Amino acid sequence: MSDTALIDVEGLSIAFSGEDNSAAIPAAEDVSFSIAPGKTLGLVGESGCGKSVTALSLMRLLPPNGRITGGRIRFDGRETLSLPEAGAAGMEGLRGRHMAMIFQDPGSALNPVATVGDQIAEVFEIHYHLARDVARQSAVKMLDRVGIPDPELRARSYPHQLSGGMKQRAMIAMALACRPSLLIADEPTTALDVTVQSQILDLVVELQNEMDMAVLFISHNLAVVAQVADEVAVMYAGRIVERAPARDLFAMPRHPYTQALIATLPRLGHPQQRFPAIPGTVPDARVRGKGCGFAERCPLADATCHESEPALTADAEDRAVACFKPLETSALS
Amino acid sequence: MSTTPLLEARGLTKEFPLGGGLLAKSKSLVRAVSDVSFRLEAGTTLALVGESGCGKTTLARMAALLTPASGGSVLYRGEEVTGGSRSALKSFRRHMGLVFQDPYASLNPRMTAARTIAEPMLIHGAGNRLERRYRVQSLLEHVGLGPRDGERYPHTFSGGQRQRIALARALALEPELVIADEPLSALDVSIQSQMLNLMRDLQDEMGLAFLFISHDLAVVESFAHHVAVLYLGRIVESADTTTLFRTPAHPYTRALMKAVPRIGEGRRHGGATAAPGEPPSPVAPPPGCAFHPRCPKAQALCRDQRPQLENIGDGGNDDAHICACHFPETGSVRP
Repeated sequence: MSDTALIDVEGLSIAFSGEDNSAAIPAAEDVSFSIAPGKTLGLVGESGCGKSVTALSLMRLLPPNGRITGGRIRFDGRETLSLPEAGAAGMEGLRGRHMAMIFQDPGSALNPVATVGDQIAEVFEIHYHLARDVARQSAVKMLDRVGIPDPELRARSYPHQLSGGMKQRAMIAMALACRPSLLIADEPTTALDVTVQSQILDLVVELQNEMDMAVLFISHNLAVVAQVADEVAVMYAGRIVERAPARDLFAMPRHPYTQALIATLPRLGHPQQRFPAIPGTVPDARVRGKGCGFAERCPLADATCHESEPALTADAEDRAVACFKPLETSALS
Repeated sequence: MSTTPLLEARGLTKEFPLGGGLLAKSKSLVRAVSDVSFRLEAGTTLALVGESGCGKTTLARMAALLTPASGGSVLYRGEEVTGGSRSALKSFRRHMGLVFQDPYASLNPRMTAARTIAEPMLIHGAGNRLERRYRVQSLLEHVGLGPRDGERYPHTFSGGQRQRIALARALALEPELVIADEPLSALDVSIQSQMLNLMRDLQDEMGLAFLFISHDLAVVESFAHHVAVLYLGRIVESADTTTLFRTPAHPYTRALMKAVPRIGEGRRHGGATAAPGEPPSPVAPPPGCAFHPRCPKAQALCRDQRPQLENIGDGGNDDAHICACHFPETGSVRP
């Protein structure tokens, strides 16, 4: 896997220092995955599962109280965790040019006091040292490419003059201006209406095909991830609990949490009297004991599950699951 | 038409002044909700669905008398409560509970859960101290919280638990009606299901009616008895849930359904967009049918003339299927 991968994450652990002198709180533990060029990994989980901090650590943009406590990240042959911050050969040179990120809320990711065109032009100026007017023209082309009508006019608009969907398109234009080889999309459609969400998903897939980008697509919504992912990793309480090709994961989940997550998803055309729920709540990272993080909520858990933590173990079919009692794939389907 | 509905909206309209602050003379008005009527029967759920800016929240707030209507009226058990007598208003408030979208903003951070739940009883002078305490305990238990959770403050609860406290507060006066504005959208899916099951159990047990505001069609299909689809401040289609989801007639309703992502369809390849463009702004509503710029079936007539809501169902009055479209779709979307 790792020789063809564009990005390879191995045993990544992230912790946040608490208030006062309390012990560091783990936010992600032993996270491993890799993405090949042109492929999409969907990273799914509920709030607090560690998916966003994992994404931020790829960009090395963790907040000041967050720290990478272990593991390695190799991007395009470089060990990014040991790169210097500054300079074209450092993280600054990678970010925006070779790896880019889009966020849930384009309203807060765009600069409110600069026109959309200027913000995109700035990317060209910084990374390609283009002259201002050339950069402006490239920005207009980029806005046109992401489906913004009347791009000349829109380049002169401020973010607040654009609708939510248009802002998300503008942010995609900015992120993809340098044709990065990796796009990290963190809940990019969560704030959008469902008809607009559908358009943005189409746009991401289309641009990915055109640029042969690797995409890390993060969402809490399994159905959204199913629209774009080749492979899916499910996170729970800071760990990847299952990883599989998208089709197999949805057809035959092996981790009880994955199965429960799929079952809770209300599906159009399947009205139900009871809504399948997962009992209990996600364990608090500050007081987590030993054992599997899902054991408290798992219908299959026994003494072993409460005692020790199952490791993510790969099987023959490109699948991996961290569970002592994985569901039989043959029994389902 | 046989019975008087629990809650009825007649021609509700809301206009907001556009631009202009305190000092500037406002120049024009923007219509957030136009001429909306609906009926909610006791013990049932009516869902108002639509995308952002469609007016569903404004409509819910008018129905709850939190925002005064610019036109139209709200009737509770056949009696007008908009601009009605004080006693009618007070009785209405007593019989109605409210749950809002953001459980982080809707609870007073300085009140314990127990005090929050007891607040409506204090305001309406319901029960004595002992009775109130007993009621709070029973409500906590009802919404799945422990008896000692009453002493805790909101910041110590998760989002899902806060929403349960908000629901317990809404139920404090044993209402017949709960107006819930996107009560699930801040919650994770596993917690959403718990909340929905709880709401359904309470409906079965207490005969509650819900006016349920949501953008999630899949949830609505399971949870609601009737559905009204809103687009740019107007109802464009309404029917009982089974009819609406089996034979949606308005192209917008169909586009909404088509846009819902599903698992099991595999990776998308682009190009299958349900409706191009975005919902228009109520500041500059398109002429004719508001949906025509995005509608695959739009014709000249749609640009010139706004279609009226008409009954297109074959059933009697009780199961009216109404739709505002010059060229409604026919036929079932699935077998």
